[in-house]
Amino acid sequence: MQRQPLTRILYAEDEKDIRAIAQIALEDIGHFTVEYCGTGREVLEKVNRFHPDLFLIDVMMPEMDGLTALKELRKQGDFVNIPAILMTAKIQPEELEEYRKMGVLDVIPKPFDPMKLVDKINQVWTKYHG
Amino acid sequence: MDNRTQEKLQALFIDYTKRLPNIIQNLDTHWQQLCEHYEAQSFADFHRAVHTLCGTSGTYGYTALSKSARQLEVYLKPLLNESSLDNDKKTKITHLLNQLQISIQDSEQSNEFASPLSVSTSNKLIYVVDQDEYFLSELKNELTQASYEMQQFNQFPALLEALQKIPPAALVVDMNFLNDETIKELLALEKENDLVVPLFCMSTNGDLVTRLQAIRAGCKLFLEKPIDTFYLTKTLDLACGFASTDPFRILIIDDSPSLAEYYSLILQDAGMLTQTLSSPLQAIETIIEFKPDLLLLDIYMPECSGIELAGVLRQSQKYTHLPIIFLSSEGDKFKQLAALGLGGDDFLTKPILPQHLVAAVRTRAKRAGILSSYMTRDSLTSLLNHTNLLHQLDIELMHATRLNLQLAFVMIDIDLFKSVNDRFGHLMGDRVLKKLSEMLISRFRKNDSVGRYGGEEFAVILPNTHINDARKLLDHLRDKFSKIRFNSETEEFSVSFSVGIASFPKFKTAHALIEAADQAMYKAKQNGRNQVVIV
Repeated sequence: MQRQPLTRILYAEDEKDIRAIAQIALEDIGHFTVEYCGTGREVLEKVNRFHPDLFLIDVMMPEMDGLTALKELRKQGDFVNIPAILMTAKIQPEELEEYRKMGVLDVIPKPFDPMKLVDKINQVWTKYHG
Repeated sequence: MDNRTQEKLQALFIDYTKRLPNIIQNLDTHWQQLCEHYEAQSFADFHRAVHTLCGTSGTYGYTALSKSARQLEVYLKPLLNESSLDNDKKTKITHLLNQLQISIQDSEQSNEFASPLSVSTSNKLIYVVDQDEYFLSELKNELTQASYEMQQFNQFPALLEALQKIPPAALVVDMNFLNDETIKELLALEKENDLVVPLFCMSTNGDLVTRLQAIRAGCKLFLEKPIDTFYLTKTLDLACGFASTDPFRILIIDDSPSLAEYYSLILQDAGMLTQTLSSPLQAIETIIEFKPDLLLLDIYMPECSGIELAGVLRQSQKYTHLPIIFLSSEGDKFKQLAALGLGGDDFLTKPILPQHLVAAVRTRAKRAGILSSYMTRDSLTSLLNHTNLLHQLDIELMHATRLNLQLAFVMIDIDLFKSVNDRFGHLMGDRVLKKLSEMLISRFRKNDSVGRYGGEEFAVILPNTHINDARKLLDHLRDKFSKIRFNSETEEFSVSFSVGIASFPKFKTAHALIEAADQAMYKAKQNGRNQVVIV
């Protein structure tokens, strides 16, 4: 089976310090093409133009949180099959269960090690397409 | 990972590390406001800020800090639905906030990214552009001793490139490298990157043309060669203190709230911190609380005129140096002169163009800042001097009493300091004093006050701090300081200090606090030195 390469990531994170460091990881180390959003609403606005291979989404964001954005995306036919990884500090068992039910590929707990972010994403991707 | 990525990461870490004390400081301030006046929305914002700190600090390698922030967040979360907080909860939250401060220091040691770059949280990188190899090596020696990190350049383009990547604390340039073109490049680069790097120029030629050229480049201080490198180091210390990017704090007193608000917006746009007051009778209280760098004062107000208020302030020694700018529609030159005679520094006639207001305020505030730092600070260590430390203690005690907060007062005395002077000379003694002051400055929060109490005696005021937290902090510092190796010409040695801590409200007056802390410190000496004793 032809494995689909991961190149385009739509990344949503409202905290600019975290975004800055993730940007270095994703672009300089991972060589991904990345589109950045600061709110859930921005995700919904940008997804049509960007056509990501993967969503990387922070849960707690102003205006519209990551979960609500993801639920909205899942209602729109075009994006049902684009996998999503969540980045969040909210990793209580019941919270994880909620993510799982939403069909989230994996959760990267915050705080995360920026040096390992790309490896982690690639691993999840390979497993998903393996 | 390639070098460029590594450099980008380092720049991010340095930037975050620099901002971290401010972030914690803001949390502290936010919490104090909540203690004074509880509001559900404000509390929710506070919780969110702690949540953000937890995620961000952890991602930047501050593991211990992130864990402490998590503890605080977990404690805050169930309180989000409550309509008020009782004293037990407040105490607990204050304690957890103090833990954050302690955790920063623990994290520093474990932070693999930050540690090789910056030993302290303050930027100590100095760029020097010169061709004189002998001078450079001598300067490097001196700067390294004073725990600066010097990087030398013999070409201007390389300097510009470095400036963009990692801004230093100060820039020292030989005038041979400055001409119309390089100055233009330097200024453009600073403007483009919003850089404020103090510039020192050196030249063998002290004539007016050369000096003018230096001024055009934005030079802070012109030094004629040959230069005493020890003197240059001291000057750099002072300059780097001034180079702090803290915004100016401006208090605006005008009986028309809408006008006050208008000025306030203009100054805020220019990056200043403002507070407005429409009743001049509350001026003194507000000045004590807000600690303004400058007062913007309307002349005509019903309760008390601006001129009268200036007169009152000038009678008190504490406010002699506070710059006052009068605002009025008064066009009468004689009245303006009278206003200046009573202690105003400047007079602006309404309506005022925004750029005039900003320029007048900025110039005055900057000048006053430099002057007062010369007057209120100890010349060797640039810590608060004895008088101003006591003054600060009065202010903090008033604050603590009013808000029912705790406060710790710390006395530090270097052990066997006389023998350092006797064995290695006074210059070495000065270095030990300076090293300790630097450590104290970089380790405490911004609203803690650090002063040189006497010869080898230092004092620190820690507002809103439990004595046990203070003990932990000081014990950590004590341990760290005692491990520093000093190099004299003949041998390597280390120095320790003893600490006494007393707290409010156990001791209620400044006098009682000082005496108790002093006695505790002597007890530490008697018990064998190099330890912390609390009462």
